[in-house]
Amino acid sequence: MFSKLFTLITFLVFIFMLWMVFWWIPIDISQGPVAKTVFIHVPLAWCSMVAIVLVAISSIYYLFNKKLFWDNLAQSTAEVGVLFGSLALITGIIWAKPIWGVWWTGEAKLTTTLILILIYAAYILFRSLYTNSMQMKKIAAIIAVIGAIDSPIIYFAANLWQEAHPVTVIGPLAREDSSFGADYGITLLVSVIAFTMLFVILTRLRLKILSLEQ
Amino acid sequence: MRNFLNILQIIKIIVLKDFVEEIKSKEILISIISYSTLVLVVVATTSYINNSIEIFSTIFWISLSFSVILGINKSMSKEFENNGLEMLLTSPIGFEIVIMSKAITNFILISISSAIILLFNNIILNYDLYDLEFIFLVLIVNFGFSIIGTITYLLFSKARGKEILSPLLFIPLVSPLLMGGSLTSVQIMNNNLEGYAWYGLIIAYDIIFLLIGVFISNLIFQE
Amino acid sequence: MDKSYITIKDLSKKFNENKIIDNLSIEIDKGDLVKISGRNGSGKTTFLKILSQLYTFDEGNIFIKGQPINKNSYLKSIISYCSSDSIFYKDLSVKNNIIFYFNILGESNPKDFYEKNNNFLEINTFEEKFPEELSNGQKKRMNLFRTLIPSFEIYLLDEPELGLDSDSLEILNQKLVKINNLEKTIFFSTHNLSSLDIYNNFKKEILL
Repeated sequence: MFSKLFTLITFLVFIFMLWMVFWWIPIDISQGPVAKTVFIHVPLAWCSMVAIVLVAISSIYYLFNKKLFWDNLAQSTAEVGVLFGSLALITGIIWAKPIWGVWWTGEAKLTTTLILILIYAAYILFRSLYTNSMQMKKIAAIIAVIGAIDSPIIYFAANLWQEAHPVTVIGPLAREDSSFGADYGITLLVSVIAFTMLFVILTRLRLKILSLEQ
Repeated sequence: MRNFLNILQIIKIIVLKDFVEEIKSKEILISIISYSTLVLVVVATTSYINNSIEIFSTIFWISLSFSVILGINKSMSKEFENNGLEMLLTSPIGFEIVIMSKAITNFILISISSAIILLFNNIILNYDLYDLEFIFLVLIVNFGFSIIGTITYLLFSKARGKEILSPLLFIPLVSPLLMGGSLTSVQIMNNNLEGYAWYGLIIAYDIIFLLIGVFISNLIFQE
Repeated sequence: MDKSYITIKDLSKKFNENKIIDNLSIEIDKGDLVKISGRNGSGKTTFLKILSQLYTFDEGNIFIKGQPINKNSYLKSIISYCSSDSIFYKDLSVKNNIIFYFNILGESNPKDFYEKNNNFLEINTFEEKFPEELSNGQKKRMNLFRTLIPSFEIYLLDEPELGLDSDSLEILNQKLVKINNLEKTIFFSTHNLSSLDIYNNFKKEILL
């Protein structure tokens, strides 16, 4: 009953968000319509970061108490997190080309997201290729924790790297600073809420499927 | 103190054993050196690069990192074929010592290969890079490669498709080392080393993964 | 703490959600000869690997000399595990494989120790060969030499007689009798009770 209500509310929030993005918010004067990609890109990136933390916490819980629920939660959040992270990358690239004139800039967040997607892709692939399921769950949990420990270090390194390699962007808006008004801020908040709720639904669905399979 | 000396003694025995094996088979050194040479051959036959610092750095680190994957896979697989590892695991030595010993063996073999790879790079790309700062940089990055490569191989040692999984996790995990290595290499070659922050980061990263290896050793080896 | 030399209580072990060992309890005294019997896949090798700390277990307790078996280097130093598979490094000669093992056991002079005993199972006749040049029986003899010559308190033998000729079986039997007479505890698993005379003298049986 609660899950159906939650799904309905998520649907309504999404509709509201789409109205805000496509009708309520005016088109940005400097960036044009592509600026609205930020309302999809930022929430996706946020959810993928949340996923990393959740995978790590679930994995640590699994390593300590061996309850299947935590392993299933780790797997579900990893899969949904990789999906959201990949979409965040794609939307980021779509935004970057017209604004900065380049597809890829080596910017710290992009680089970190790419690297983390690879780590969690390895996590997911490993789970499907290893036959001894109990040992597999243990090792998968270790990989997830290593990925989580590593993520701030990768971000820090990518930041240092970015400082040493100033981005050469040549697009028409390369030198412009964009500043969002309050209306953009509110819309962004609603988008983040909408996508977070979607993340919860997808994770819960995947968790249910895993439990039924077992 | 006596315990520490015992540990060093055991590590020495295992590393020496690995060297005796390598002297007979020469598989690891040959695979690392020949793979990186092939990368250089491809570069030499597909580009007009001549004396470019940035490209030297990029090619050196690309050829080293991919050939290291091959070398570490070869080195670690020797423990698993014919169950040789079981000899170590059933003896009264801690599992973390097994990991450290293998990491040290891999480090020494990778470093020997790096010297030869560097020589070939210098010849093909027309550069003379033998600075002490660069050599130290290569050594600390190699240590990171060896400990991370050892851990990633062991994590996937019993999985199907470990040849794909191991590099798939290895490369992302060593990305901070590659960033630091390539950036600092360019600065060294430009005689413009901007402080030692990257050295610090690389050494800290190596230590973190050494500790990770020690902590997860029991989980990896015991089913 | 229990007074028995080895106490196993409610031991359970699962693989892939299948319980291989289920609630096993037994007490073993020092010097016991323990037979492990069961059909293929019943968990005999798994049990021996748990005792040798190659495997963990899911439930229960194991105490040896009053100490829990978990991550215990001291217990590993008094236990010898002889696998049914041949274990070796292919790029080391037979002699170097064995000396390496003696070295990591902490033997003070592994080379001398080897030389003093290298007539056991006629290892000296093929000691300079590399393992891949050996027959299965010779590989087995190398394995047995490595695990039976050093002095341990507990021996875990997984089908030690497999692949041996009649002369080697006789030598192996004599060695095991000698070990058992020294009050050492021996666990063995076999599908061929008649292969070694000592097998018939078992004191306890674990049925898996």
